[in-house]
Amino acid sequence: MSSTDYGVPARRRALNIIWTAAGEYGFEPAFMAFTQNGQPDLYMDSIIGYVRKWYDRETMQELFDTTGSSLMRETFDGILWIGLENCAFEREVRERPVLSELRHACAEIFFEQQFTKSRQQWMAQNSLVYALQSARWNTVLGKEPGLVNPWEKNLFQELAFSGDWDARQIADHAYSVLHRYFRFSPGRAEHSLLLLLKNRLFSFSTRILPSRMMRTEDLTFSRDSSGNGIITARKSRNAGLLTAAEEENNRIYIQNCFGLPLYNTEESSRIEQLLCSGRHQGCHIYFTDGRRQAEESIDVQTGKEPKNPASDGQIRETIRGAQAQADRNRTHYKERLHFYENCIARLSQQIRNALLVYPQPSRVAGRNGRIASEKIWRAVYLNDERIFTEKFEEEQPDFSVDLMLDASASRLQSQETIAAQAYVIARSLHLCRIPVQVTSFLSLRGYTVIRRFCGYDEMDKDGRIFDYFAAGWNRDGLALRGAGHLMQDSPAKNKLLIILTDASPNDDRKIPSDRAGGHPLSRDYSGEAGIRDTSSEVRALKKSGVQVMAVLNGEDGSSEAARRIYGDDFVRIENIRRLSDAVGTFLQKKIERFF
Amino acid sequence: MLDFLREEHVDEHIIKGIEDFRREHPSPEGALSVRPRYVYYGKEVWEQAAEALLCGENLLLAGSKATGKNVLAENLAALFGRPSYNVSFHINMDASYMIGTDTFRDGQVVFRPGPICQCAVQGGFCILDEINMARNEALAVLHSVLDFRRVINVPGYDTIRVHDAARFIATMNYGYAGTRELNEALASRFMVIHMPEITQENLEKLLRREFPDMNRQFTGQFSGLFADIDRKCRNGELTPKVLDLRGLLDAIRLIRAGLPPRSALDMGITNKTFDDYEQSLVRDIISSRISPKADRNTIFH
Repeated sequence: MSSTDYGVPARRRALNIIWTAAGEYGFEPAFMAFTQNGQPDLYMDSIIGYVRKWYDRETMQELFDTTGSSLMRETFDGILWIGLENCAFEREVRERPVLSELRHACAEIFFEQQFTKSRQQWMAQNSLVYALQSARWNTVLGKEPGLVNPWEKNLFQELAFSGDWDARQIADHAYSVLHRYFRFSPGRAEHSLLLLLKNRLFSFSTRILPSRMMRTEDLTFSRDSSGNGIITARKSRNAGLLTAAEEENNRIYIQNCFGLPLYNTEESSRIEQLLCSGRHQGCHIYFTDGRRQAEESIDVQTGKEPKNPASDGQIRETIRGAQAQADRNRTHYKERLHFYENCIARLSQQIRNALLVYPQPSRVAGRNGRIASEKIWRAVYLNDERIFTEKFEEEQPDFSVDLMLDASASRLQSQETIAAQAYVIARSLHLCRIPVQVTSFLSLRGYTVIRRFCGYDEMDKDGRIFDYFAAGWNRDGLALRGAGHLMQDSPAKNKLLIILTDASPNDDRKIPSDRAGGHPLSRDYSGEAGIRDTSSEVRALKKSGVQVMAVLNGEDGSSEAARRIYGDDFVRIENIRRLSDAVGTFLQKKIERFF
Repeated sequence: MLDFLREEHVDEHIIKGIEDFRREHPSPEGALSVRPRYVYYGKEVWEQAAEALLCGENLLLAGSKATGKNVLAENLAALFGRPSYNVSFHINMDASYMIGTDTFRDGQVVFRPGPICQCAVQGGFCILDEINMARNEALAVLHSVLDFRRVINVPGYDTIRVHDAARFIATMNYGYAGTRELNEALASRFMVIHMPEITQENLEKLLRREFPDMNRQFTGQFSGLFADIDRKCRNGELTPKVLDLRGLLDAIRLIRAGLPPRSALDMGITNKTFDDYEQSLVRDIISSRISPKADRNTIFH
């Protein structure tokens, strides 16, 4: 298991413990707690949830923000949570008696682990918080706090926040304690260069120190820790119109990086006119199947040689990166050949079963058809003429599947697995003779690039899926329009679109202003605006008869956003390795509905 | 059952209506509906269902797992004092299974009535369980039974009139594997109740009734456990496989028999999913509610 596989579920699990305790979902807590071996700390994570459950959100957030802006943030966080643990415990234990046991266990574990290396690192770094923490756990275990220094003793006593206090009382008391013991004044913002530097350093140090509260902002898992990144896209600062030369440069850049376009110039501009309208005005859409011309020198659309010295190096770098990624994808698959072949066998079996089980011929008694000898007497004695059996074959399902993979930079970490899983799905569907089209989408320099790996009739081309690589942004709304366009070629009556997404549309090109729609200024294509746009594109697709389903991977994206965009037609998979299983289940459900 | 409705503060006018119905249609000799194993909690649903049945309507109870569709259906039959007939629907269900078929008796071919026919004649309550598992074409024979005509046409035999006291209560779980869309013609012949998930308060009542010897503190913890899982399912963090009320009740029964609570809950709930990660989430919820040291003696008195 790689370190990524280990980290993400642990974090998601910690989040779930906090959500369960808070009785509320979807929010990002300001803190999380992990044990020394990187697993969620059940007791402390629950405490974080209870604090959310019992105390006014704004007051607590203000308290966390204030201590977080201090130079002594680490110490203050530690001290604050010693107090909060006490009051949240006292409050919750009335409803949840098992909590005293969990608290006791937490205290025992604290002392059991005090001689481990990472604990000693922590002790060395912040002996005050450690001393106060061990005093608290000592009292939990029924011992003396063990503090000698009178200053520390008094501080410890002040940290027995009462379960009867409300959020305001807690915050006021906390500010007063910090002021009296540390001369901390909440009103004085400490936004110095030193603080910035300190916080920057802090974010590195907390990540490696387990078994304690951590601010979640410091827990951001590096997306490209494996060094897989090819292009690190930055939000474009240039929101204005581009010159014709810049536009041309961008087009050539996209063509060189991603391959020749699927359509000629005339067709391309017709499609662009059709699709890049409304909220996508000013954007471009680029369809390609990744083909490259022998020498990469002639531009098919204009017939000219692409001249772009400024980005030549960049392009070469990208192509090299893409090639290296394709090699990595293939190697990954080959190394796990047995596993993936099993996946293909299982998925194709699942699809075949669904296809076989549901279309059962129904036999109905009728006035014509095949004579049922055992019923002849009924005609004679009962005048019942229905002594024949008619056989009605249910129609074979007539459907095609489109698999659309998010290829934005957020996927950098799992490119090999996505490629392999997509291959598994395409191969399995091909084995069942179901037409499938696999595409990926990403946005770069204002272009939403839709890369088609294999078309409906290209059963033998599914190996090209291994050319998948991730980069740039994702303008989901425009990509869905593009998918709708490509799906027009489907040979089947029913069309299914399965999209791998994080339900968080995000592009560097803004949504143009729309005075009639009440938006006099242009808006960023992200957050609420992005979700709205994507959800309206999903609705449009559904209206045109396409069934759209989404697969969310791991902790990326919120379920709430996905629900708003895709309704109930989405599933969250914890690990991208489950992609083919999730698609299998989706397909099975849909096949059942076709009958 | 009527006393139970009064305890639940169901409208007195409805209770009176049920008493009148029972007087008007006394239970057939020896065909009394058996006393239901569980009782349904939920005043509003009780009132909707009872009022609809009093007005001669048929009911379709739609809802997800653990919403008590079958419990309510059985309860209604017992409440109205009518015999209940249960027909479990499946993909190969056909008219002869529901209505009846021919058989030999005393050297003659005679009609052997199916459950729907029996129910129609006896004036029973017919529970059409998981009605959307069957093909819509097969269900067409029910149309005349369910609408104003209230007759069953058996080809070759006489037309059977549906007894005045007979009612049909269908249940369906939308979205289960193997279920289909119910066609409009059939759906229009039912009054539909969307069964809400059991509330924590009602689940506590259920647990107290089912396990009167359980310590009060633990009824709160077990119902809270179920509510926590329910919330997690609704937020897409868990699949509904682990939202299993039957499983919870069975697990508590095992605990009462002496099995350690964690093992029993694993068998009844956690192991219903085969995904390790989901199992770990469920175990976290259990850990935050039930102590590993708890046993039969601490949970029951």
